[in-house]
Amino acid sequence: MTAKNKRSGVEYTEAYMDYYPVVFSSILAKTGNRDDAEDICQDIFYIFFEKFGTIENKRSWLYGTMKNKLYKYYQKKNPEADIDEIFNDVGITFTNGFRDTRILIDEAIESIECSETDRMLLDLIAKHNYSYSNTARAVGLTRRQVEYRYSQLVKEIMDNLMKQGIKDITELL
Amino acid sequence: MNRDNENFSKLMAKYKLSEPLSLDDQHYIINSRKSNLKKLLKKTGKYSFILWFLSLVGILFRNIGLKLTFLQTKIAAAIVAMIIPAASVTGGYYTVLYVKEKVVEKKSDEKHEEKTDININAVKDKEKENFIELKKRIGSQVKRDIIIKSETAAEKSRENNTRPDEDVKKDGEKSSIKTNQNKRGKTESLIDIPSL
Repeated sequence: MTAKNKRSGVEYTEAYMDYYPVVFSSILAKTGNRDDAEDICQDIFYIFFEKFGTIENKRSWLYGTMKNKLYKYYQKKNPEADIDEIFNDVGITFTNGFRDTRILIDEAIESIECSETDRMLLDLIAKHNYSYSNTARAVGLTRRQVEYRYSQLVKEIMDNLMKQGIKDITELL
Repeated sequence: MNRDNENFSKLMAKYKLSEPLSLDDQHYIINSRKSNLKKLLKKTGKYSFILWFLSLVGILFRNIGLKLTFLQTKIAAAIVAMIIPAASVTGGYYTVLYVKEKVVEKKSDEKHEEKTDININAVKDKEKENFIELKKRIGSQVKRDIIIKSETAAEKSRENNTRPDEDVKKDGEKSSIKTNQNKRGKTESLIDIPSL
């Protein structure tokens, strides 16, 4: 194995360690089956390895591939399944009339300027309800660091919501 | 700060933006990560000991909250690779020394025991010899005493044998005294007194 290969191997390992919990969690939340989720995750990271040198935005590539793989998975199970419904819960948002607020919060989350690690923190804690200690293990930080950084991120999201005209978050609850 | 976090979580849940996972699932995902990486590297055919070692060092530092770059990982791996054999050699050396020391201690203990055994035996032998000597001495003294006694007895008996003339003389004297005493009627008791 050449030094370049070793370098890419180590970089791949780092990327795998970073994104594996987020990707696996998203797949498991959609499929609800550990074995299926593990198989899909292995497939995604296998392709990720093959194309590792050419990928620019790892996060968006991984999410795009995941969506694709999940679509295939649902099609195999139920050929009439609507992928948009599975991914966005559009039906629920329409029936409850939450669509605009949901888009507003989504935008507030997406618009904050943060590192990849912070984005992963948000995904794990806010989206998948990971505990601080489990998040710390997943992203390679201490529990205190995770708690502090997450609090800072939430504060930033709140500021963004305030800019959108929402003075108090309790108004939305 | 924590109140904001709680409210944000509630907000995410209310607008179906969260997809919560159980703690058990969270543990499973984190714990399966390393083994799945190994499987994946083997599947791709890029698995090698050096790459796995570098990855493990990276993971090790990551678990204690330190994210390393490739170069840092390489340096850390080199240090770890140097420390492990050095530590094992040092450990081995000190273990051998310790074992050797213990063996020498045991041997010296055994020798000391042997020495004390030998000393005890020597003392016992000496005591025995002393006892035998003493016994001999006592025996010879007793013999000597017996000889002396027998000699004295023999002398006495010789003396006794030579005495009759004198005894006769003495007896004569005594009888004369006796007669005199008988005459007196008072010397009777003196005749019965044995001669020494």
